[in-house]
This record gives sequence, structure tokens and C-alpha cells, in this order.
Amino acid sequence: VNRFLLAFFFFSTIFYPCLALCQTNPVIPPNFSSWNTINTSRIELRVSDCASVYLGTETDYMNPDDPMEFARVISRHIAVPINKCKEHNKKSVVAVSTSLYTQKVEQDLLTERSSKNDSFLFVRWRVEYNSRTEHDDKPSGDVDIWFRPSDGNWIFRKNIKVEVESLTENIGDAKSNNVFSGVMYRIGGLYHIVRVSRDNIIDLIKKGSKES
Amino acid sequence: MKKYYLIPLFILVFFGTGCASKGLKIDPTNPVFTPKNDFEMNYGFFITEDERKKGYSAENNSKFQESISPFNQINTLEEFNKFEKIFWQIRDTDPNTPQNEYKDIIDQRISDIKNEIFFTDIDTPGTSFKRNGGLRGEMARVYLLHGAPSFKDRLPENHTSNRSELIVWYYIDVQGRHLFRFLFYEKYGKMELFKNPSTLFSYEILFNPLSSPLREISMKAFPTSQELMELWMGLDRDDPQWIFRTPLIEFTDYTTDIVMEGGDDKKIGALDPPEPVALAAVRYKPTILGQPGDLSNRNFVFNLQHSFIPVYFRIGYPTGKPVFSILTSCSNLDWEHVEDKMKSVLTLRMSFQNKTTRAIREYFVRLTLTVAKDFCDQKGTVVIYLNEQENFAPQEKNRGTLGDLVNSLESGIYVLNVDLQHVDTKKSAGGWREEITIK
Repeated sequence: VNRFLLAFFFFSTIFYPCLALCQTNPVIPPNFSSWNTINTSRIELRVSDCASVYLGTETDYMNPDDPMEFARVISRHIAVPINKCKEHNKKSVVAVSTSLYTQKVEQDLLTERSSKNDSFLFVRWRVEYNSRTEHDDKPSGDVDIWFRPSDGNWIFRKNIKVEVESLTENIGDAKSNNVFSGVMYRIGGLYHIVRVSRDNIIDLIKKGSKES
Repeated sequence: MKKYYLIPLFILVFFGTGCASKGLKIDPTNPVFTPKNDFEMNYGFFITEDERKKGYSAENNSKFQESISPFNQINTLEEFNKFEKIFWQIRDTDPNTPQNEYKDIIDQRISDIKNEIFFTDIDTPGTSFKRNGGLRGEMARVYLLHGAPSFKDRLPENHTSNRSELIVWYYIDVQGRHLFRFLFYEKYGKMELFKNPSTLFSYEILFNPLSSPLREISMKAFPTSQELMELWMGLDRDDPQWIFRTPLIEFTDYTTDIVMEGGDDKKIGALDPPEPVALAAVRYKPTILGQPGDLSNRNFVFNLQHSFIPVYFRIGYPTGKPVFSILTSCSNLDWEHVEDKMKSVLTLRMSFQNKTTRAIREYFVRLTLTVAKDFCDQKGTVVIYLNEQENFAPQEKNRGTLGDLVNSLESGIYVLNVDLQHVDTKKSAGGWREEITIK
């Protein structure tokens, strides 16, 4: 039986590349670049008061031709773990005066990283007037979702929930030594994880505890 | 206030400008004479010791494109203009904007001083910068360096207790703590800055004619112990809230971080020329980890993504134990041309955490993939069977292979975390999180 299973596994892996990599009808995600950007926020993991990891961006768009139609695009970039913990000496005065400079270093890098991002989730929806709340917040019609799991092949789904989970990871032997290390976007059994490398997060925590 | 202040003021103004260019005598006909003297007059309190004596060294600081002579040695207009440009450039508090906010603030303060903004002030009426040394006086020095105080008050002279007129300027931070307490006292018609707070507060020191901080605020040239005691008792009546007495004893609430003058690496000198913000920021710049290095001199063929390596991670169970492999097309990876081959180096880390015991086992390997130059042109596929790969995780005592690690796991349900990243470009597959059952 074992031999049979091994043979099965061997053949399945030979054909697997094509099963996995050959898409007969590839899904092409939409392009919202002509829509109006209404909000952009960063996907940030706060490791401590002075250390964070930036993993990507979430951008909301509005259709300029239909103000009731919206889209959200989630993109990832190379993780940027930043440690701003510094010695307390002189902190009260100097840190305040230099904060714009340190922010600029951070912002310049984040701007550069954000400009080189990879989108992996697009959600498009419409709203209509809600007489109960007296706002335009009642979902109307389908919610369209384009999603790119970690294998890289886009899928398209309608009206399905996108689950977002924070990932934690144990960074030591101690049972309680779990830290946030990433975010998982999941649709059904498929997921895409954006995360920081374990070495970086350990370094970030070590530096933070030494210098803060 | 007495009127004989005019004599020292005249002497100061007369000689003040002539002494402006310390260290080097410049001929008044030299075109640099006036701008340099004006600069010293307006911004002299901001020129650091290094700027006066060492100038800007391109060798020691990459911020400077060329070295510029020390301020004290500058004797040409061209050199002065270069100095002035750098001087303000490194003080610009917000490099994101075209204007220099710091210079704007200082110029506004100079204008305030010239316009005598405190002369009609409700708390300290009659306060004149001009009478107290103008732009080079101590009062102007404090105002130029720190702006308007958060709180100010005046205590008229008391002839009964022989105490001079007092003015306090308090600078208070957002926490409500006193950053600086400056006390000015009248001496020979001019407001002097009190610079010798007695850190040890005791009546023995307070009434000692040789060491008492009260000597300076006394109208008497050489007050006796009795006169100091009377002065203190007078203050007790005139200053029940200790607004004027506190600065005699303590300059700041941040005694470990701040001194009035003569700061060093650990302490700020409130009256020292402030360190230019761009130079201070170098020490305060954030530490950024995990970024790709400079790859411009290396010959890379990148995938179509900026941060992502699309990869299949496969778990099979051919014999009951999990078998791991990763699979991707050649064009999904970043490759470096090395001689006549292409190389891609990835790090793969896996952790297995037992859901019941929470015990963790680690696996780490650096996968060096080398393929022929035309491999991607031929739409090659990369398949790596991981169980045979050696384990280099430092946490694991017995290295072996991934297969050995899996075989040594106790039966149970495990949370598997997988992270795959390109060593040089730092692009990653994002990772995988799966639950696996070990039987």
C-alpha cells in the first residue's frame, strides 16, 4: 500500500505543476486607477509604542461616474519594520525638534515602498440610500471580489466574505511570548498572508527593549 | 528703574558691533564686513562652537557637499554666503516644505525684539529689550532661543528688604512641567539673568554672605547675613507662591537632562546654541530593518512583482507523515546572473507548534537554486522537495533533515507557519499557515 501511495504522490507531483500553474481562463483584476481615491491607510503592526511594521496599504476609491459605487484595493509591499525607540537623554526637547526629520526618513521609505506594491485583493460594491439611517449606506447589488492567493493566480468571487485575521507567532520558548507577525486575508480555503520575517520582528523587539 | 542704564548700553552698542567677528579682524571696506557683522548680531546666539571654530567638513559629514571655513575665519563674501546657506539648511525644521520654518521663527523673534513686544505687556509692563542689551542682551538671548515664555511675572523692587526688581520667564512643556525658569534681576539699571541657582537649599547657604544666591538680587553690593535674612523674609511676604524664589534654587524640573549653560552629550544647555536639527536627527533617525541592499551593481532578472513571490506550497501524506514541497514557475522568482548560470537564493523557515502542548520545533534552510541561463525562456518549473533538505535552525539540537524533524514530532495537531523570502530582494511568498495532523 505504501508503495502505491508513494507512486501516486510521485505522479501527482509530476502533473501538479500543470494543474497548479496552468490557468485555462485567467482572471484579470480590474483597474481602479481612474477612480477617485477617497481614503488610503497603511497596514501596520504595532510592536511597541515606538516600533511598527508596515506591510501594505488599503485604498478606497469612488467611481467618478457613479458616486454610489466604491472599491477597496489591498496591496502589499516589502515589509518595513521601523524602530524609533531611542535613549531618554535629551528626549524631551531634541526628539521633538528632530521628529519631522525622523518622520521624513520613515515617510520617504514608505512612499517608495507604497509606489512599488502588489495588489492582491479588490472589492467592488454599490450602496443606496438607507431610509433607516438616512445615509447612503445600504448595500445594493453584488459585491465583486478579485483575490490573489499565495500561489499568484487570481480568482473572482461574488458576495463572499473576506476574512481578515491577525497572525501571531511565538518568538521564544515561553508559552506566552506571542507577537503579531502578519495579517491573513482569507476567502474560503484560499488565503494571502502579508507578514514580517521572524528575524526582523525579533530584532525589532530586542532593539526596542534595549533602547526605550 | 534707574536711568544710568544708558552708559553701559552705549558702551555695549559702541563696541558690540566691532567685536562681532571674533577671531579675525576684517577690514570694514571688505564686502563681507557688514553681512558678517549683521549675521553675528542677529544670529550669533545660534552659531555653535563647531561652526565658529571648525566650520562644515565634507569629510566628516556627508550632509555637506563641500567643506566650508569656520565662521570666525570667514573673510570673503563668497565663503560667508556658502556658510549662511548651509547654516540655515541644517536648521530647517521641516525639510518637506520649500520654506525654512526655523529661520522664519527666528526672524519673527528678532522682529518682536525690535518692536519691544513686552513693553506694553500686561504681566511685565515696561520690559524693554533695548534697555537690556538689545539683540545681544541676555533677555534677547532667552527670547531668541526659546520664544515667548509660557508664563511671566514681575516683582517690583522692595527698598525695605533691599531687593532688586525681579522678572521671571517660565517655559512649560505639554506635561505641565517646567522646562526652564529664567529669573532676571535689576543691576545698575539693567536686567541681568540669574545664572547661579543654589542646588543645595539650606538656610546656612541662603544667608551666607559668600555663597548665597540672594546676593545677586540684593541692592547692596556686599550684603551681610542679616540683610540676606531680611531679604528672604521680604520675599516670603512678596512671593508666597514661590514663583520668584524657585528659580533661585532650581532652573528646571528636568535636572538630569537640562542645565542652563554648558550642556554636553547628556544634558541640554538651555542657553547654548541649539544643535542644528538635521545633525541631531542623525542620532535620532529610526532603525529600519529587512530592506533590500543596493543591487544596482548586480545583474538581476526580477519577476513581475514588487514584493511578492507567487509559490505553491504543497503538503502531501503519501505514507501518513506529511511531505512538503514548493512549486513555482521560473519567472516567478528573482534570478541573478552568475557566470553562465542563474542563481536564486531563498530562505525558508517553518515552525511546528503543537496545539496542545504549545511546544515549538523549528526548521530553517537557505535554498540556493542554480539553473541554466535559458531555463526561464523555456518556461521551466521549479519544484523543491523539502523533506530531504537539511535543517539549519539554531534552536534544533539534532540537525538532520526536515523529514527527520517531522518523524520526531509527537502525534497531535500542529500549527505550521511557513515563511519563504528571497535573500537579496526581500520579496516574499507571504507565507502559509496550515494545521497538520501528525499520527
